Amino acid sequence: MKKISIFLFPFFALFLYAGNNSRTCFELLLIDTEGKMVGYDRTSGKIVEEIPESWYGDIFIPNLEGEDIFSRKSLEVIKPSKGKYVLYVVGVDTGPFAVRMETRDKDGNYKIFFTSGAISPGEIKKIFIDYTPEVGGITHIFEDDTPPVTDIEVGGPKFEVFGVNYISKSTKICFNSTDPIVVEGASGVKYTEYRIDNSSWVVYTVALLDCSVTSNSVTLTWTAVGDDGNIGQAIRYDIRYSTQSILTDEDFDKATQVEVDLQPKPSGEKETFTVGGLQQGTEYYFAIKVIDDANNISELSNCVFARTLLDVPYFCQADPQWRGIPHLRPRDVQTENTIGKVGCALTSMAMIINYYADYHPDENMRNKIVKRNPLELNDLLVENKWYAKNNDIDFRYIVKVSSGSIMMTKEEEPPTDNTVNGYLKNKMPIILKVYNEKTSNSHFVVVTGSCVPLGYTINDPGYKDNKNLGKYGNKYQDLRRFKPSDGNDNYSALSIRGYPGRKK
Amino acid sequence: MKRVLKISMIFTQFVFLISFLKSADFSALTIRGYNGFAGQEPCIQLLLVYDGKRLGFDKTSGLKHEISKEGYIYTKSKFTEIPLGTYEYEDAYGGSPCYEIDIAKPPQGLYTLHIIGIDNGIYCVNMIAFDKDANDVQMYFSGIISKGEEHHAEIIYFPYDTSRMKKIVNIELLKNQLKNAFKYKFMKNKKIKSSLLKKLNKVDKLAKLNQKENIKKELQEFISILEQEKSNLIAQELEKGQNYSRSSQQDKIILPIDILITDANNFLASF
Repeated sequence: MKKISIFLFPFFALFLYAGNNSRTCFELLLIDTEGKMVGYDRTSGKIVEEIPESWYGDIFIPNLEGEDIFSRKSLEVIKPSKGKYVLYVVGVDTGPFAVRMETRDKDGNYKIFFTSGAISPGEIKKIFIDYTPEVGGITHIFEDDTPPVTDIEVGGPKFEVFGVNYISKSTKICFNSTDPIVVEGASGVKYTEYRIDNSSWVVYTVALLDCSVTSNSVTLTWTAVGDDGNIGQAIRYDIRYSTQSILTDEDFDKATQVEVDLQPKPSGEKETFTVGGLQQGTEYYFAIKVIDDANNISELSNCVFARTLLDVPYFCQADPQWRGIPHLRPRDVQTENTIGKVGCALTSMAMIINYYADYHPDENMRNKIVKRNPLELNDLLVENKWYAKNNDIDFRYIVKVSSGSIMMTKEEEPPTDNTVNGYLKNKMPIILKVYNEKTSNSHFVVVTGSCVPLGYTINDPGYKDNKNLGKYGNKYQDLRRFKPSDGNDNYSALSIRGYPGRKK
Repeated sequence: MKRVLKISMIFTQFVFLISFLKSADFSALTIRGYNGFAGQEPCIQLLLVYDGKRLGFDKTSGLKHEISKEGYIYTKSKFTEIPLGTYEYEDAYGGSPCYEIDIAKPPQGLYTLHIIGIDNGIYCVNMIAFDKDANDVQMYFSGIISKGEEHHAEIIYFPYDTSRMKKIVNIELLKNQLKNAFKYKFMKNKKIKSSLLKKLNKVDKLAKLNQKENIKKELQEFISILEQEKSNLIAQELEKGQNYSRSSQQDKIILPIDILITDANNFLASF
């Protein structure tokens, strides 16, 4: 399912837990190529949702104490058409803002894009979005429509004739463009255009990164730039990553350099590179610089964030090895309730157990966990009667199955994306309860990764190829939280909160 | 010497306290309410009360589901006054749909469970309690209920010991269950209905006179009638080639006659 999700929240969203002073100082309005709108129409003072399958409104998030709320604006368009959109950020108060954009293509690949700035009442910021579903979403975002500040350095000799400065035709001109609204945490998109006399306009932009992830790799995509603005071909790329954001040249110098065996393509073509050897469930920031044939180094690209997926082993409840086996009953019992038919909870539980057998943070506890596939887990639960009376799974028995190494946990806070992402950030997969409208059945899936707010990557025990919640309307009903136990119960509820994708 | 012993005892207590403080807390209490017939929607809702705090069904306003802007489905009109407690409808555990009360780290003490009939039928209540060290205990009971009727149970939760659950059985409950069993055709042999009711009415009268021995005698006769009926049912099923115990185990069909026998025995034990 193609989707654009645009989230706007106070820049101080990083202080999500700081108290109740955060507020939104802006409204959003998105207009498509046909002029249809979704968002706040300041001419009428009303919310409009003319774009099909679109939604705009407030989302409230409890603070740490669960008392006060922090609000953010949310704008969603399901199945957006290919084309250009304009997003207006309309100031209603003075303050900073941040826009986090997530796009997903029909295959569930997603991209995250950040930008931010300051706004005052009545002020309008424009963000241009070019949505291309085939490559995973946004391809270009041009911030504001006022030209960035452009310094021009003339490298060759100048001469003056009757008070007018002239340069010779072969003089090299270097453009150094900076976008004044780019601040920390912003996209870093730098854009200008130039022409000499009546020749064609040349667009100059630095490389713009996007990414997609697996449990041990991040695939970066960007548009190739030339050695002179957007003309020609660069000679090589310098790609770096860090667990801290890369926003300055200093950050870039400190970041880990990737060995890049990639010959740059001509300007304007898509480049793709996969950074491998990464750790599962870890947050990484990536940035790129481009080097030309004269060894000139470009400015820093935007910094993209990605969290690698949790390496949760996958089991399918319909695997021929166990799909016909009675669910939580002795094997010789005749029943329609087989693992293949009703074993989503059992299979999800097996995935969690096998994950912690590899990744429990405490080695001693890790060694206590025996890896079991759904069939073996079913046998163990039946043998020990570790299930509820009506042949139901009780997830709390995970503590028995794992010899005390994993426990189901609970918190007062309601299930929100913050909760899910807090767990994922701490490398703890959880189980989501979802609802399939087509079959009118509830179902359990294991979450392995996420981006804001609903772009969860899942292991679906019912459907091997289903890797996101699209089948379930991008919604979930409830969640089951688990945490590794080291016998000391050190994994407190408060330590696992976090905001997805926040900058460190 | 005394002083050494005292210091030693204090040290032992200290070590015990430290080990207690450091140990993980797995304590939890889960109570599920099912329909007595496998796969069918629950005919009961649950409400748990502890120290005046409520968790579960709010029978004054009913149960409603609302979907938030973010797509979460919230169950409205329910009490969630017990910390770390939830009450939800669950239908994806792989067995039968149920209403589930779940409490993490429940406080020690006496809980009263209200079983509220939302349909006429046979229900089953299942309790799973974990203590702090993850030792588990499962208990369950069944009942025959009509819409709007309310049954009760008591749960004593111990974080350091085995917890207990007991259905509260009195003469009114026995009479109602017996009437429900015939009214909703869970029991069909009308020949025994009047004699069973007579026995319970007699028990009721005797209770007012506090004649315990006679009550026991009447209850034993009540149970005997039911036991005989159960034997007849088993024999009939065997004739049809069915296995009473096997089919009841596989399909989780709780026979109403078993419920009546169990409850009557529990009531008898109270005298």
